[in-house]
Order: sequence, then C-alpha cells, then structure tokens
Amino acid sequence: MQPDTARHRLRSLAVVALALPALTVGCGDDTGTAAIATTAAAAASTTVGGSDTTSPDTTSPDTAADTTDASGATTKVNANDASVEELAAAFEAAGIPNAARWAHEVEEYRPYSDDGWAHLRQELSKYNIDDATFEQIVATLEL
Amino acid sequence: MNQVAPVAAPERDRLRSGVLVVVVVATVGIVVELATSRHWHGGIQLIPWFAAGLLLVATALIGRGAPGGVRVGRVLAAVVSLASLFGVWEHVEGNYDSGPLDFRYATSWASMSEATRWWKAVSGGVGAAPPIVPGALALVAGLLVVATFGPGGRSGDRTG
Repeated sequence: MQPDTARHRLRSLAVVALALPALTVGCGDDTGTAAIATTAAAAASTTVGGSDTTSPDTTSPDTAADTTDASGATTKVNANDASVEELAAAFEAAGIPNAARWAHEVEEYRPYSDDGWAHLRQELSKYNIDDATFEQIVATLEL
Repeated sequence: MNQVAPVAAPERDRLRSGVLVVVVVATVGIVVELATSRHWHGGIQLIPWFAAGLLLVATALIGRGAPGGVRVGRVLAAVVSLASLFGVWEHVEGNYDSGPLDFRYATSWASMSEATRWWKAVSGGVGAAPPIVPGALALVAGLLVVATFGPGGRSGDRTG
C-alpha cells in the first residue's frame, strides 16, 4: 500500500466515523406519545377507591355496565399486583377486545401511582388506543 | 504485496483514537436513550444494556492495545451486531403483534395482506417500538471494527 493510498483510506475512515452516528439521529423513541387524557381522570375517578380484587357495585352505573361479567358483578383487579392472567380475565369479562395483549401491556408499564391513570394512558397511547377501550381498561383496574 | 506506510503511522493513530472516541460517545448516547425510554421491562429489554457494556469493553481492549485485544474486540463487536439485529427483529415483531390494538386498524388488520402488515410494522405504522433504532448498536460495532483496520489493528498492538 502506498503512503498516499493509506492516507486516503484513513481520511475516508474518518468521514465514515463522523457520518455513522449522524445516521442514527432522528430515530428516537416514542412514536406516538399522545397528550395526557382528558378522559383519564374522569374514568379513573370511577375506579380508584375500589376494594380488593373483586368489588361488586363500587362503580358508577355507566362504568359498571361496561365491566360487568355474566353474573352481573363488576370485576376489578389491582393494576400493580394482578398477574397477566388475572388482568386478561378481567379485561375479557369487561368485553375489551384483545384482552390478553392489553393485559400484557398494562403489566409491562408498572408501577402505577394515583395520577388519574395518566402514566397508563401515556404508555397505551403509543399503540393508538381509542378512548372507549382505554376507559374500559381503567374501569377494570384499581390501585 | 501490501506495504506499511511509515509516514502515516502518527496520523493513523490519531484517527483511530478519534474513531474510538466517537464509538464511546455514541455508546453513551445509546445508554442515555435506553434509560430515558426505561428500556428495562423484562430480560429481553436488558440485552442492549449488556451490548452497550460489551462495546465499551471492546473499545477499551482495542484502545489500550492489549495483547489479543483487537481479536477479542472484533468478536465482541460481532456479538453486539447480532444482538442489534435481534433487537430490530424484536421491535418489528412487537409492532406487528400490536397491530390489532391500533384503533385505526382494529377492524381491518385481520383482512390486510401479510406484506401490508409487515410493512406497517417495519415502517412504524403500527406499534410503539422504533423499528430501526436497535440497529444503532450494529452501526457503532461496525465503527469499532473499522477502527481496528490498518497495521496496528492487525497485530493487536499499538506499535505500528
């Protein structure tokens, strides 16, 4: 290898070194972090404060209508402690489509605090969840 | 036959050091990105953390010119590249699986062609995971391997 050729290759190497990181810029995370919900607080206010894992008749009539199972009892599960299977069963009982997948997502983004489900909404918004489904989910959860 | 260019050695070392600095800066940037996105839910999400650690170890080995360091560094870079490709696949697959969750496709996802579904998953049309971002680790690993090219890199020492 001639000296000039070696120097030319080294300069090319330097150019590549500077260009590669630039290629990664703009590939950031959070493709769709939607705004914090206006409906989350309202939905949460009907669910927070429930009792243990099952608490019939603790929600408003509208919400209860969405989360009642075949026996008419409202099924609530703890957002921080319930297993994925328990979450999925509760979502399924509430008639939430793709219950198992949503249960997995709810479990993934733990822990949840008493923030009106803002954290949960922020995370689930990445999946373009519709408001009705989100309200069904939070109506099934408690802290 | 190739001949070593003696006059290029100081410049080569400076450039190699510069490339290694860029590798470290890029790796730290990736770690910051992982932290801000809280990329630690489950074992699979910990893989890029270990990969970033391997990159820093490999950089140190190559930079210090330890005996055999270049060879080990290249192997580690290859491992990181495989982890990076796995990450791209995981992100794309995760996006694909979350297609039905998107209210825009709730009723139409099942009727879409496989090609359309996968394209949406790859292009970020559905799902929460940035599809190409894990590839940044492979880019940095490739950069690290490039830094081992040249006479000093081949021998594994820094005498060149």
